[in-house]
Amino acid sequence: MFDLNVSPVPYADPWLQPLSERLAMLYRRKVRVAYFYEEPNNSTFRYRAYNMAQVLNEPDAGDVSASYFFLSDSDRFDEIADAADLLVICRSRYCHQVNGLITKFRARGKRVLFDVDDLVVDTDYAHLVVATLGLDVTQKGVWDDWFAMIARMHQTLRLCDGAITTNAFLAQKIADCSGLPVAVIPNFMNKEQLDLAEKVFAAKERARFSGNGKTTLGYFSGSPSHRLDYAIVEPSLVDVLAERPNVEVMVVGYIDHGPAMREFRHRISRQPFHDYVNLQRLLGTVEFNLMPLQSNAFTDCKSELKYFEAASVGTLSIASPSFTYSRAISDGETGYLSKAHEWTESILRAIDQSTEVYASMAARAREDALRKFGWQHQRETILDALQLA
Amino acid sequence: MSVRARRLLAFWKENGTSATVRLFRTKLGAAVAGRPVLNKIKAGSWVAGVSGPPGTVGEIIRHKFPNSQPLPTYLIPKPSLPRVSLVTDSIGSGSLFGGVGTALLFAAQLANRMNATLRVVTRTEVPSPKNASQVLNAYGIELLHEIQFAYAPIPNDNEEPESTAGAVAGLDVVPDETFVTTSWWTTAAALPSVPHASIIYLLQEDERMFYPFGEERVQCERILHNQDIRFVVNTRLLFDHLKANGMEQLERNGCWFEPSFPRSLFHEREREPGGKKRFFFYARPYNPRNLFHIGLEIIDRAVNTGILDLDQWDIFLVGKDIPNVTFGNGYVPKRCEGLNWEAYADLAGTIDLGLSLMYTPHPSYPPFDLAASGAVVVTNKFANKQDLSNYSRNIICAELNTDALVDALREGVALAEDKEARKRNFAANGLGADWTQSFEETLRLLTAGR
Repeated sequence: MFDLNVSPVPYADPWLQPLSERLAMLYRRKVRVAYFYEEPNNSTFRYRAYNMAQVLNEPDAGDVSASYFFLSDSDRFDEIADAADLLVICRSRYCHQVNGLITKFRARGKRVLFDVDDLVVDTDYAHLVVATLGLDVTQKGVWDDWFAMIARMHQTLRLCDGAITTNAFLAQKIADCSGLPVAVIPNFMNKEQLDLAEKVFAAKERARFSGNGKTTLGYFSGSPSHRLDYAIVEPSLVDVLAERPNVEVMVVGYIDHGPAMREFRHRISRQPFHDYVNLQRLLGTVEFNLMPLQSNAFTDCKSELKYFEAASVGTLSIASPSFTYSRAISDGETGYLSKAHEWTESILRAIDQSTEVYASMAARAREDALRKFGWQHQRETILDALQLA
Repeated sequence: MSVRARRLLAFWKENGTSATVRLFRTKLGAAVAGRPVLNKIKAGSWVAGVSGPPGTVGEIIRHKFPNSQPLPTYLIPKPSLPRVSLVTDSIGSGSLFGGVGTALLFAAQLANRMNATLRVVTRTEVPSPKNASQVLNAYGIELLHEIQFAYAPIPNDNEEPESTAGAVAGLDVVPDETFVTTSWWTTAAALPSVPHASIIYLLQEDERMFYPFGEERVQCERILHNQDIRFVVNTRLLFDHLKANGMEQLERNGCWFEPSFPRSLFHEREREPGGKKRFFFYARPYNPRNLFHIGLEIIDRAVNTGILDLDQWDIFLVGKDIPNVTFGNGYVPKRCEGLNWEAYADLAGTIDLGLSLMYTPHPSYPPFDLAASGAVVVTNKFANKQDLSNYSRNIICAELNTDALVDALREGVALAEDKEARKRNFAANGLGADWTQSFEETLRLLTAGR
């Protein structure tokens, strides 16, 4: 584990601004993009609306401005439709207000795009999604919730002129079920994340990537719905912990260990959820970030975010070779790829190589992540996808 | 007697003492870990109609044949890559010898041939990716695509330990998916759940012989007579036997392959200079077809008549649940249990003579393992299994009576000690050494016209 001499930063959701400020942000320039999300959150909203607006609103970055709006702003939808040239509906379920907002833009002859970051627009995949998330399929409510959610997403999508998503695999799936043109903007890191990541990486460089003598494997689960993903790697964690006394495991989020892990409970630490900025700090403390994924169409739609967030703080990832990870990570160069039956060997290989190559790989991974997934390099891609280039 | 006590008694009668001890251990482990120890007793559960409330015919039949209950499946859209799903009980360390290992190799090669994803579906134990990896690595097979694992446990309403961690609620099935089943019960479970034409039943024994004449045997027979599925049979010998014994449809929808014994794994090992010669007995008392007690008698006779001179020979009993037995005048053999692949092959590579019995038409793997490792081995004849010299002249096949088998051991000792003849026979072995070649014709037939 790396002992970082970097303090946590005070955090407050930066998007919690009054409507007046958000409208002012929109009015700032000549060409205006309104992002819509049902209500702000730390995940999809941050990546697909907040981060996009942050890039477009950069000083001296042309004549496009952007802002974001929510269901709670529905009284002012007319004003928003008057002000904006383009509406991007991010992952929103069909409802009276959403249809109304789209209709207002259409009535003014303005384009509307749909942005989505998961395979949640095609009910043909609803069962796979429910099963992959390990939900209780005997509960009727699960089916009501998920079919309703996905069908409503699909209906919103169908009202739009085109779609934007996070990778080519998901883009194809959206095109298949909607017939709409689909553009790709990857998820990427924003300024706040990268500011702290830079400090973390610098601290590790100063320490020449020497840790406290223990190697820590991190599993940053996010939510209990990753139970089946974690199950892929747990037997190998048991093997590695048994074989290497200096290895420890850090689990962030709500994952229950199986009985075999209990023997090593003194070498397993748990961390609660962190805000996304300070999560960078926590990520920076572990040597390896484990990213097991079940192999199927739903997980092939996932973005690279777990890879680039770790890479930005000089932490190496070991990942399942999903569609996205196998394209994002160059095995042995910027991280490691591991098929489901090779996790033990992959983890041991990564640990054994770490004395020699950790620092250079970490630097390479960070450079790669920043180049592809830093906010500074996204403007053209965003403008292309919005057809504003 | 309480319902729980009756259930425990019934469990003991049906599963035996060692399974009951395992059950207690599991329960104790659960108690220590703070997990629930006692399952709910459900009305209409398997005790229904036996020692509990009345049960429907369906419930009572499901209790009798839990393994063959339909796999829960659901359809998802066609992916970019096809998929081959191997359905087997377990790929646990204790299950990977012989047939299950072969099934994994076959399914992996089929997946590669079809440019498909391989999925391993287990039913009695959470799949161990590490074990799959060991087998594939040991035989140098690299999958073209990511491997998937799914644990689809057999619905369980009795007192057996339940392990549902990591279990899927249902198996996603894609159009045109190929299912490789590995027993009559996994085939029976797949038949109601997937298109029949998608099933390839990898048959490695005349499974009817697992049972006395009764219901299990009939259930098994029904599956073996299925006309819609394809059969892949392990060895020509078994194929011919099955065809001659009621499975005429194999002519139309079956094919066979011969197993392989790669030299990287099976070869003669360095021996301790001046050490004793080594005798191997395949000892599995709870697998009736391995004729454990008959084997003990033969060895004892061979020892008592000086055929196996214990001043010159060490005896190794290799298998599972081996009792503490002595031969001759109190000689205690070495017992080897729970060996992993490499340890087993290492041991086989040091053996001079083996005895391995199999009361079925299949030659079984241990005689081949030993012959491929340079040893001489005695096994029994059965039906059309009369002569295995086409595999190796170091395999001696004897009638299944004590005199004939003891005589065969005498012959085996002489051959084992005749280094030149043994070496000559070994060099002329007809055993395959490359699984890719073993499966080549089968894979060609299965994938032709796709």
